[in-house]
Amino acid sequence: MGFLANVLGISLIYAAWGVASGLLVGSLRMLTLGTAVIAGTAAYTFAQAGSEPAAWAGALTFGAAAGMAMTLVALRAREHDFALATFALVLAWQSFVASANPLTGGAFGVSSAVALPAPWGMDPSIAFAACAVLLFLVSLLLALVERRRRVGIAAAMTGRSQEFARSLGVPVTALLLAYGASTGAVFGLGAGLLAAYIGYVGPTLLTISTSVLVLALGLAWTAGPRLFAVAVVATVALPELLRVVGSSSVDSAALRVTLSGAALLFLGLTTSRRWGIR
Amino acid sequence: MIDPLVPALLVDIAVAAVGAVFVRAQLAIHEGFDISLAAIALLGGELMVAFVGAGGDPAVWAAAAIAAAGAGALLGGVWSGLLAAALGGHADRSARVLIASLGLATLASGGVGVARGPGIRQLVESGGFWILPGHFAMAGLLCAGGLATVLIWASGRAGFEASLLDQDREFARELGCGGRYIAVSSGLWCGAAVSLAGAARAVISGTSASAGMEMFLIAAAGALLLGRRGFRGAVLGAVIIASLHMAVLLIADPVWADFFVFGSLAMLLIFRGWDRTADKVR
Repeated sequence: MGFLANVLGISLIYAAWGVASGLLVGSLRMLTLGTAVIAGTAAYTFAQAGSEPAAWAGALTFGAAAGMAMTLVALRAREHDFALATFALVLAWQSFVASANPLTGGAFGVSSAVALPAPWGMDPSIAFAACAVLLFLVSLLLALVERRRRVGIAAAMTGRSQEFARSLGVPVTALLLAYGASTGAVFGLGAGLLAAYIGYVGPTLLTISTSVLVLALGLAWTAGPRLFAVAVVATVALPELLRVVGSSSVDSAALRVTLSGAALLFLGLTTSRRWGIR
Repeated sequence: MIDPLVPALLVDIAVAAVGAVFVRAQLAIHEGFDISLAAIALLGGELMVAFVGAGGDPAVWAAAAIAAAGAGALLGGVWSGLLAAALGGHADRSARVLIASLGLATLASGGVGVARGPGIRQLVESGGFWILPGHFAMAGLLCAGGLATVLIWASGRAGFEASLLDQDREFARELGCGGRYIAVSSGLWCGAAVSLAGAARAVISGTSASAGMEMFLIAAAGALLLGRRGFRGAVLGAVIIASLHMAVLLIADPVWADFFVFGSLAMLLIFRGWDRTADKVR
């Protein structure tokens, strides 16, 4: 039961991140690979905080701030330039956290003293899965708000052409900041959840592979809920479930990378009209 | 006394130059950043280590180099042709080229992880002939082979057409440049060169699943540094970036050197900006 709750929790965190990434890719056409920087910043903040409220507030705030900073990159670098810039930022960030010992604990990382909220003596795995369900629902709510409100149209215009959107009175910078803050908060809370459950944050926890996987899930989200569900199960749940048959965590991680690469390859070469970045 | 790191970094400069030509050529032909360089370089490096690990005979080294070049040419040619066929004339071509090639590079990186596990794989010392200076000499030969391959391609008709596409796409199209032949030719020749460069890097520093990605980013920084100055500009840009990387590496911590290079590339992409003309011409 604990193992299945663990798989469900991890899958739903990635699913929430995928929905958040899908909001950026689908409407704003931002192929962001900066997820690892946003989530990583929040995770380190979470682990370094002294108390439970400060940890969650820190993860939320720093996640939102990092998300806003990342979307502001889109004001100058667009399309493939933006993707490559965020790719380079992730690798620079990975180098930074591996060497900035006083701040991040260097290669050894830092332990998180804050545990997951587990009311009524709940099992930690169940509490983890319950929190992940909540996070996923929050991300779905964001997607619903985007679809039902004018902001979705404004974002789609901005994604097509920032200049055109500006000429029609769309506050482009404010819109980018709002998207960055809301999606960054989802990335931040998910990172906090992971940090609390694992009890550790290090340079190998959130890497470029995480960003690639989240981008693949984001693209799958823009292609429709069915493909998104298949992508989450195939790239996140399946490698975790294979641990039942003796696959090590290292093998599972490598398989997850392979499957996320295959998913990106498929999504990049298919020419479905429902694609978000069209 | 020369620091043993210096010859290794000289190899890195040559590798970056080869990679920069690949990135520039693919950018001109497919209008997007082609990260398949990472997969091709990884393939070359893994083949080199796998072959030479079986024995240190010079004939084995030669066979390894030929296998690396051949496999790189095959993968590069097929991939570039596939991109041209699947995405030719597509509205979102630049983004799709990046996504698909990132997928290929990630697939290769993950596949290596699944096949042989994580970590760096070094050459096995076998016999007294291929001592460290021999490794440097072999890496130098592989780099020279890679550089010669891209130079031969760039000076030929396909290279000239790719150069025209890079300088003025509309004019090049009017002249009939930019068919699938160019895409396949670029993938074939530059793929072979990149694979040789990956093999050279593997001889010196070993091969790891993430090595190709880092090589791509350094090559991309080089290809973009001097803007639209063709393949010569790409080579010069790569030499500048890789030399700066080498300088930081020798002066400061290796991890900070990576921070410097990748941070510089991000800043380069952010601050070179986006020309807001209707046809998005920079």
